[in-house]
Amino acid sequence: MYEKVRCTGLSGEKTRTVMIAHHPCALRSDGVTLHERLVVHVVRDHPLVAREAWGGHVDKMPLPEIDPTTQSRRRHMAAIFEAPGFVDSAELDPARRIACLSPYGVNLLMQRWVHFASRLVVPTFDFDLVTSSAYTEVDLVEEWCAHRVEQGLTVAHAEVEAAEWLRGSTDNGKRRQDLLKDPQQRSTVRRAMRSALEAI
Amino acid sequence: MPERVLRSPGTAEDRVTGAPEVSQTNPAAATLTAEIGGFRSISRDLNERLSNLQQRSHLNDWAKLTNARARSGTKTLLDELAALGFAWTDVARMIGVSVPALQKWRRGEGVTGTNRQRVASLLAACDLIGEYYLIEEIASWFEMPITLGVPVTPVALWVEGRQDLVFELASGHADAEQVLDSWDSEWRERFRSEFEVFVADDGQRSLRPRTS
Repeated sequence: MYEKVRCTGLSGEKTRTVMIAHHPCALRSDGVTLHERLVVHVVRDHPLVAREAWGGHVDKMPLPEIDPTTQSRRRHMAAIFEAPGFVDSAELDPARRIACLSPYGVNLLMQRWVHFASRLVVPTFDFDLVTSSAYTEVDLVEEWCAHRVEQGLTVAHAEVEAAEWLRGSTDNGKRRQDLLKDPQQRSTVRRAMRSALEAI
Repeated sequence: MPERVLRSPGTAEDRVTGAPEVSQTNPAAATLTAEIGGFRSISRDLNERLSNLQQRSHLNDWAKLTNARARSGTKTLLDELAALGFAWTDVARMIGVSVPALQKWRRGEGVTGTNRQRVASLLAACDLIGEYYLIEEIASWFEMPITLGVPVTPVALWVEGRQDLVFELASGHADAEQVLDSWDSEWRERFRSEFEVFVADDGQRSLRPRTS
């Protein structure tokens, strides 16, 4: 979730708080570079929606206690599905990122969005089957970048390096990125990546 | 007339062996059955008591190992978890903190005694499971679904505070279904899915309704 980004929506361009709507696999064009423009949901202040009342709010993703440190109206918010928009990916400066959904939160967001758009309810654990490897990969890229930026690389350079390593093959000829699709192999790839980072 | 027919030995009267008489005062078979039933009850009770005893002993060993592990600094403990191959997101969930909090601890920033103990207890559990139950690739074991088609992993059990079930599963004293029954008796209904994963034409995994 990002704040203070220029978003083009139904009522033209405005500065908004937004939540990225794309599935993680659909964010990047070549596995490294973000698409020039990304689809977002506009996020607004919203009264607290009690857990048992979520079913009645099909057109939004409630975000209760999104900022538990404030007593203002921004304590509870919601991503509004009826207010889609586009943002330039260059607007998504990490300094403007104010929150991040957990993998379960992302699965829930997708479940609600798909339900809103099509009236089809897909269990969150089914979404997890097709998102978990992408999130594992994102975690590894983040870890790689954190390590390499400390050593003086730019984030962009470190991202390219991480993608190259993940697309590389293991001794038995399998691409590391493909191994991440199997939960059993993920810890092996993580260990190999941490060793590779130590060796640089 | 019917009585006569039933009692008639026909032509083989001498060679027919009658059914043994059942004594009403000394039911030997009934006594044996009751005795076996009694032994089985005793055995069940003994099994339950041994299981409880083993669980207590196990928790005791875990507590001792946790104390031994807690002598190391949090950074060292986290480095060891990283070397095992754990994901930081999983470690954060299992300890009950955020990933940025773990990153701060790895940089040597302060950690509360409770959190240090939690990190030590996770590593101690890995020691215990690896040592007693010879489970290799422990991080991989933690993140694998405990049975096919059910998205429940030892990590999820740990996050919900069911370390007892994690140890039961690791020990092999309970099978996956027994562990899941103890965790949530309605798991079969809860995880029944009408969708299946397939690789779409763009090479990405996607979902579609099950065909069978």
